[in-house]
Order: sequence, then C-alpha cells, then structure tokens
Amino acid sequence: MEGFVRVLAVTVTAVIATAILKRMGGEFAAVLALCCVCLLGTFAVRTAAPVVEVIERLETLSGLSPAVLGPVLKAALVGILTGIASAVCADGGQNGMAKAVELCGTVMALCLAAPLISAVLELLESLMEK
Amino acid sequence: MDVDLIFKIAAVGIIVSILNQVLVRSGREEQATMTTIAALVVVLMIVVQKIADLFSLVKSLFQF
Repeated sequence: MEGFVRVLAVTVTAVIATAILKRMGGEFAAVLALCCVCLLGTFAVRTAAPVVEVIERLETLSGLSPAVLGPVLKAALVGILTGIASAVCADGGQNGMAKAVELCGTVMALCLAAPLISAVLELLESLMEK
Repeated sequence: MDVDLIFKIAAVGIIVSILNQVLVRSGREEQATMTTIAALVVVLMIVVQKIADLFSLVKSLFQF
C-alpha cells in the first residue's frame, strides 16, 4: 500500500511539473513524462516479480511445459509495453509513430504465439491421423 | 523509486527556459538554441539510462 501511495505522489508531482514545463517550452515536458513512465514501469515490473514466481510455481505444479506458458507471459508483456510506447508517442503528437509501434507490437505478439499455434496444429494432425 | 530524477529534470527544464529567455532577449538566439539542445541531450542521456535499466529488468524477469 505504501508503494502505491508513492506511485500516486510521483505521478501527481510529475503531472504538475509537466504542466509547468509545457508553459515554459514544450521540449522538457515530453522528456519528463517519459522519465515518469519509465520510473513507474520499473516499479511495476519490480512489484510483479513475486507474481511471476507464483505463476512459474503453478506451471511446475500443473506439469505444464515452459514452452506453453512462456509465450503467453511474453505476449502479455509485449502488449503492455506496446500500449505504453504508443501512448507516449501519441502524447508527443506523433500518431503515425504510435500506430507503427502498435503494428510492431502486434507482429511481435504473433511471432511469440507462432510456436503455440504450430503445436496446436500438430496436435490436430495427430488426432486426425488416429 | 527515484523521485529525485523528476525534480532534477524539472529543475533543468526551468533553468534552461529562463536562460533561453535571457539569451533571446539579449539577441543571442543561436546560443539560446544551443543551450536548449545541450540540456536536452544531457537529460535524454539520463532518461535513456533509466529506459535501459527497465528493459534489462524486464528481460531478466521474463527471460526474454
């Protein structure tokens, strides 16, 4: 809970500082916003470490292959990072770049899911042969 | 969480904008632009380091 309060405090401070910097000239406001995003992202990833450990433990207990759960986690992470990067680009007024980042994120998620899709196809083929 | 970094960037931004105003008013537009660019580069170097830290953390945690 203390960490969350700190997150709120940092965000409000950064918003106020960004508003001040925007009035004085816009260059540093974008950098400050990017820095705030980076700090909050680092905090979120550090906080999520125990959750990932729990997921890995569940994976071991259920006897699932790491090849199954790994791409799912990675695709989720790619989606989150893509959303953040796209929002940062849109904040900077670069909607074209934001769309390009979203496209790259989608392609990356598809690439990560490709082994899973091929595994499903192999399973279906083996079932059809039987 | 490194809150000081936000204050540091805000302070640099305010100081640079004041410097920019002073230099522009005294007729040194080129120097004002160069000052702004130099400060931006310095701040960007700090932020890029933080971004690299974030990505290395993500890589280690999610085993990319």
